[in-house]
Amino acid sequence: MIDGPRPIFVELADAIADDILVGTYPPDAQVPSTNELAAHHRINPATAGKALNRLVDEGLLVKRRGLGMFVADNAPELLRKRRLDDFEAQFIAPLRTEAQRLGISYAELHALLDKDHS
Amino acid sequence: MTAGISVIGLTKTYGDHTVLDDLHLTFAAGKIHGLLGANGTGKTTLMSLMSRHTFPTRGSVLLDDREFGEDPRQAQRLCFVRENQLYNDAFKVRDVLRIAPDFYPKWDAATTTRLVDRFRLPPATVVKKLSRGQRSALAIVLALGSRADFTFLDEPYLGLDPGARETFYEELIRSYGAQPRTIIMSTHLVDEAAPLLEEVVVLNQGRVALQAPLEEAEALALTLSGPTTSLDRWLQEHPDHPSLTRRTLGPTATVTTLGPLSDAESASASQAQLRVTSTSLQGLVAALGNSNHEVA
Amino acid sequence: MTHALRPLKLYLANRYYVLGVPLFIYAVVVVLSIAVVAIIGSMTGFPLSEEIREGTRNNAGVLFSAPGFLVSVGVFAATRNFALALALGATRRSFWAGTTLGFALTSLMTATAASVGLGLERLTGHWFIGAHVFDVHVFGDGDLAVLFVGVFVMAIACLAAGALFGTLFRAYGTVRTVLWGAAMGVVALGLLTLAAVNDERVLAWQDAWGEWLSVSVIAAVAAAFLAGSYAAVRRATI
Repeated sequence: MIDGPRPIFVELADAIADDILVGTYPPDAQVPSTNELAAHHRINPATAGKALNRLVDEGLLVKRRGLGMFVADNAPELLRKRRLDDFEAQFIAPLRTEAQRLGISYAELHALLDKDHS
Repeated sequence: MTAGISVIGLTKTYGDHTVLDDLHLTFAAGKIHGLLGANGTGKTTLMSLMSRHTFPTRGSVLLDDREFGEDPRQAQRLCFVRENQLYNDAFKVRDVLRIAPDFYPKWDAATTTRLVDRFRLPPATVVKKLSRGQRSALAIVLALGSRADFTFLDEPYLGLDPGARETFYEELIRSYGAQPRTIIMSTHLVDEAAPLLEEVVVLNQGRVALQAPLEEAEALALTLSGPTTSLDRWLQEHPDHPSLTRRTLGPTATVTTLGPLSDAESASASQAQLRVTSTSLQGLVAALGNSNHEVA
Repeated sequence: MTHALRPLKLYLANRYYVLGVPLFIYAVVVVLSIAVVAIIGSMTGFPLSEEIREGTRNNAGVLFSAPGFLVSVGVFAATRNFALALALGATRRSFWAGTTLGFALTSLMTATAASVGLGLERLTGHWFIGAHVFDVHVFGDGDLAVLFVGVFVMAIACLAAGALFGTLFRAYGTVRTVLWGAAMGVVALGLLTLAAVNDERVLAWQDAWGEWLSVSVIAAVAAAFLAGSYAAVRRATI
């Protein structure tokens, strides 16, 4: 509805999730602490903490008392499943809309996708 | 028990001029607060009063619920190196750095050394011969080194180039992460500094225009634009969303207003051909400064 | 007490300045006095005539050389050091206490320098040519106690006056500081007039107390300036 920047903690949580998805942080790997993240990104530690807690709530990270935060074993699968669910809404729907605006037929769209792929 | 620093009915007048007008505020302990607002709205005066560098005309300052008076145990919890800080004419940078640790039990020597190095502060140079940026750097070194429970930073970036400002922001967060404490920083570089903040206070003409957590404050700032007539009609029907600033372009107008909008309000806005855009915190601060509106 | 030590360290940060310069000033006074006597002696011949000798006993260099410097130390302590001490979380009271302790150290140094000077002067037969610098009328003609205490209270009075007027100047600007100074001058004149009117009693005190009378008067002035600087610092703002 409103176009504009998303809160910093959401951006940061998504960035870490991306890193988990591509294996930068594999399952069981430790992710940076709140303070490390905050200093690196020059953001308030409370904001960095919110990002990590968001990932914990989503089951992607697990807390180990006194040690830190670690990537959950099933985090990559969880993420892949969630992103697949979102894929159509996030990417296909806008693609269709823009194609319609530009008068690109579905056949032409298919051809474009095939061309990109080859 | 309110941990932090509070002001109660704080008023400061100079002759006929009222700089601060019956201010009631609490800066919660252990957070980084941004003190925002246009020049001349009383930010520096507020910091001077809270650190007892100046006395109020009326009202009082509380540190952790206790009236801040002539008690050395209270005073040593504060650090406020001013933007135009006076130093003894004979002092070199190294003299200041030698004396300051005596004032603070929790002095952070490691950070100090690293900062002097990163800011390339020349230890053998007389303080009064430092450049504007170097003076700011020295003030930052003292403020972060002090690890004081209540640390004030008044436009700490003056004269610093973008690289040095990045260094400052990083070191501020490192130092705060290692020892969380109450930090109150005034700044005009709102968007640059916003990610560092947890709480935001906007002053306007000696009064509190807004106090809110950063994310709430950021969500407040909206612009509405569209055909002037339907924009005006919409604004009239929605008195909760005042027009803070207004610009017109031909038959269209853009106003800055306060959000957030409910779903129904968003729907009515798009029905009226209005475009709703979130604006930056800097935009909100500027708009509040130009409107005299106070967010309840 | 520990809280006053911080402003004291701030005051002593430039040790050469607040402790060394008085020594330097007195060294210069000695050198200049010897030079003057040497010039006079080279014209009238040595040993000096009793008349000229008596003249050098009126040498007031020790009295008049240091105050300018000491007042400036007081002024800077009360302005620059005050601003930094408060920035670094000192209270006004501990700043005043620490700085006054510092003033005492500077004064002690000045008085010690004068006393050592007196010793050297005697040891060297008045600097080998009969030049009087510390063994002079105003400081009790070689009375070590009068010289030491006299220089000490003189130094404290100058430092405290500097602190008082420095604070007033920062708080009120030039005009009101000059008015304050004028008001104090009027009070001083009034007291002097009172003394002149009662000259017989004053002379009687003079006979009884000797130089200690003027030392006491200066001590009273120093105490008044210290009290004034305390009152001013407690109200001073940045």
